[in-house]
Amino acid sequence: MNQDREIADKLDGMKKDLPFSLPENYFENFPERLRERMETSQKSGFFEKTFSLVRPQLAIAAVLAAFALLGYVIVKNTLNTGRQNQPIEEYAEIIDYYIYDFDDETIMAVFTEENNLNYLNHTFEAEDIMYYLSEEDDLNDTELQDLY
Amino acid sequence: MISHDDSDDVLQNTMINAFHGLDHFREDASLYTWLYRIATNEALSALKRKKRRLFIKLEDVRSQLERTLEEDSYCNGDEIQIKLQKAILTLPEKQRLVFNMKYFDDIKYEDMSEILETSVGALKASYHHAVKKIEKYLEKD
Repeated sequence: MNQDREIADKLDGMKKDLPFSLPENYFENFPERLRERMETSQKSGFFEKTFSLVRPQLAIAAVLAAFALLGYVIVKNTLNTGRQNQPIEEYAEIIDYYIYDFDDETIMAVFTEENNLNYLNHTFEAEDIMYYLSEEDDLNDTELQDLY
Repeated sequence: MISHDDSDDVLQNTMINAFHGLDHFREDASLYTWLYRIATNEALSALKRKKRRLFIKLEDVRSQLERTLEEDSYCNGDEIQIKLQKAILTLPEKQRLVFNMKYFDDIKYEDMSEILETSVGALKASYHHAVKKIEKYLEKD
């Protein structure tokens, strides 16, 4: 309590010294340290100045790049959405192209073997084969037949 | 500023800024006031940088400054002086600034008004509030 009163008294009229001290010869050495600091900052200042000069252009370039990237993603997604119907057409073209490399008997043999059917005792319809092919490629057989 | 290293940085930056801005010095203003203004701005910027760099809240800055006050080898006042410094650290930044300028440096309100770009009335009110808070802090602890 006495200490607090002492502080309060000091606030009114105490010697207003700060409780901080300095290293020895601080102000004597200060000009030399300041000169060194200024020389160092001048050397590194070249890059900072150059950077500050091109900074607005860099900011604009970054914004443009961000817009370009955004545009690319949007366009890519849009195109991919449009291409979602393409695989069926592509499959139809592939079948159309390669179907003639196999004779009917080969296709029938594979078809019957995979479906555990007797080749000799079974009558095959074109629709059966189309259905089989569409199942193999996970396609809508109606769409495949329409295209083919 | 509390730590010697921080204060040294601020002083060096103040002199460098003054050197670079010498052309802008108005001769009708006092050199002391002009330098004090640069030093004040530099000290406030240094404190803001410290807060940003360490991602710490204002209250944490205060406790960190208190620790510096106890641990820095160049802080070597007596117990009462340290206690007063801790009381000053509890003040908001502006009040702390006004209190230090008035109490320790005995700067006139008119000069302070020019340095801080604040009206004399507002500065007197700030100082009054600061003194009341410090007295309250000292009575409490």
